[in-house]
Amino acid sequence: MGDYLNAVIHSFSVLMDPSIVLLVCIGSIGGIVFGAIPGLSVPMAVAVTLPFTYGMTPMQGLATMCGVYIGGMSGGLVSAILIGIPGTPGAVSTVFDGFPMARKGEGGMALGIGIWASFFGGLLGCLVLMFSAPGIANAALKFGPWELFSLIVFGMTILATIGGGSVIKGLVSGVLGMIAGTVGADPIFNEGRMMFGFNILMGGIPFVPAMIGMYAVSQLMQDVEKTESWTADPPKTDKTPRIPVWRSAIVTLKHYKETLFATGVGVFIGALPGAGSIISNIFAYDQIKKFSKHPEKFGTGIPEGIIASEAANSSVAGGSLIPMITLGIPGNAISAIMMGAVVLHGIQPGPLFISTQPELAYGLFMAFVFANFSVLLIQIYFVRIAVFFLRISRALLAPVIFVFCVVGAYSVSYRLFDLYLVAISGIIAYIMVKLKVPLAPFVLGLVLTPIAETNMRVALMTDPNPWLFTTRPISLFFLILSLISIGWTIKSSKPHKQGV
Amino acid sequence: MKKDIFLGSALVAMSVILFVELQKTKNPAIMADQVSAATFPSLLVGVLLLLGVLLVVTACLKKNKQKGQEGQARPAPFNWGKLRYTYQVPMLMFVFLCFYIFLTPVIGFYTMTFLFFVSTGILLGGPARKNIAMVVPAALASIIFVYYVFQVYMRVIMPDGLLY
Repeated sequence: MGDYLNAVIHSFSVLMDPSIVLLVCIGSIGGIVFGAIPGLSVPMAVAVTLPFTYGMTPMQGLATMCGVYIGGMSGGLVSAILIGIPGTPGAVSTVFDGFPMARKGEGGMALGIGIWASFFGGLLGCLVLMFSAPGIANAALKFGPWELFSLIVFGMTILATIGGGSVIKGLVSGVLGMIAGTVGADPIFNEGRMMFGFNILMGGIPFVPAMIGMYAVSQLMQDVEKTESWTADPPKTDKTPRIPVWRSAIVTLKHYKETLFATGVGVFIGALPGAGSIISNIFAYDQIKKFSKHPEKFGTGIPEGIIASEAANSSVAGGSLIPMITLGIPGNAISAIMMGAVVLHGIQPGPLFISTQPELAYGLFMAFVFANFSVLLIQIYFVRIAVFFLRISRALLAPVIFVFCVVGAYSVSYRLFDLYLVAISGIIAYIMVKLKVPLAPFVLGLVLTPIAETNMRVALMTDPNPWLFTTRPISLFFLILSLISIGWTIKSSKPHKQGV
Repeated sequence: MKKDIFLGSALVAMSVILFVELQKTKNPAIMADQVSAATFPSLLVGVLLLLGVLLVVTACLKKNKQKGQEGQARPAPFNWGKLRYTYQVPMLMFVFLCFYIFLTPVIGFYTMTFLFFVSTGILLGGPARKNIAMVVPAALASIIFVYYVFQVYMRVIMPDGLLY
């Protein structure tokens, strides 16, 4: 307990470092801008930010990405409220009440409520992360390689099955990612595999260029399919409304029950591998509407609707980092990219992360908490920045992002091969999306495979009996959960299909 | 349905290619009584093959079921026009990106960045003078930003070619 308190107190020193504070603020602005512009996604923002963090210390890099993550999750509300188009998928249900409220002339109030709800949700999510992570990590320390392997199998299956769509395609994506993760030297004896004669692949498929291609290039290619939206003038927004800061805070606090419920939903869904802000905001909105005394008013522009959506989508961030920090299994694509960044700095998240790197772990928690404050202040006082970027011609944004993708991928290791990989992974991801194969399981597979393979082989080297995976209780528990998640998804998708 | 059959068949073909490639994996003597380096990927390739077959089978079953429901109704002809309309801009943009990437070491990063920026900006925003007047300064501003942030501050040396 003493160590724990020491680490918490020490983590405050992170905020004494002006460079960290500045980087969180810059990251927050970047995240808000990416979040506010429909078509640019939060994973894209984190992937594009990644190369900027190489020259930084791990703490600085993580702090920057925290700012981008929190800013991105919250930034979606700006366009959702002002122009009725969600900036991120997580802000879909913000449109339902935010846009009608803005059309009634209460855009400033809608923005204020959304920003405060997002802040409370994000902050509470961070606190849950901060106080639950050490306990979960301690429990996970008891896991052997059998349990860790089965846990990863569980994470992969739940990710492949929970995201909606075809279970088979989700699993295909995960397995393809895992196969990509095995390319190059094997983790035990350093033997090259599946390199097709390209020795440059000995070190494996580089994570950063692959992520930039998959999330930035493929996303931009999807966006420009609708040519009209790019060639047309930028969306018109009225003069940026003034936000009644304290009045909107009071309105949000008056609806504390909705805020707490939506935050709980967000944290829980965020902690589940694969489920993210898209599911959480719609689920929270739907449930709060169901339990409301006046459900008929939802959709007409009421504060509860905005609070439900925004508190839920912002609290996902804290939840999604719980499995990454405590188990080394990222909760969604964004935390997978963040985990990739941490690994690039030579640090392995997992059960030992908090005990071996307490300063970094608690520093990360503190940066997350601070990022919420930073996003709150920036959005309240400088919402015009996001609105300005919203008005910029989309025809300018695509080339800018492409250039950053190329520079970012090249700056990892100064290899032209990485640039080719950006293009290849971009077109593969685009084809995958067109074939309705989800991308998130692929990313998770790519990140988790080295850990899964190492644990499987260490387990079999310790005891060659493969049945130990099914006879050790915790390992068996995870494997049963995997089967249940697949079975449940297949069962629950059947009536829907018949209906169609 | 057709897409699923195509995807499933591609996965089966990919599994076979990967399986053949995995046979080339060498195992040193020290690994004689250990799990080989190819075991884990082989397991994954096996699962991929299974999923590919499953995808083809389920797609074929769905197709047959649909055919039964629709009776003898003729399927709608394939709409090439719509396909071209949807994909021409993303594909052209991807071609521009490929040119950018492959010509950067030959011509030089900054020159290629300018050309790529302007061509993509015109592709997306049209050849109107107003758009060009926006794209060209934005291209120059981006180049200056990249130069100062990456080359001067972060000391990333961008590839030089015939030009700068």
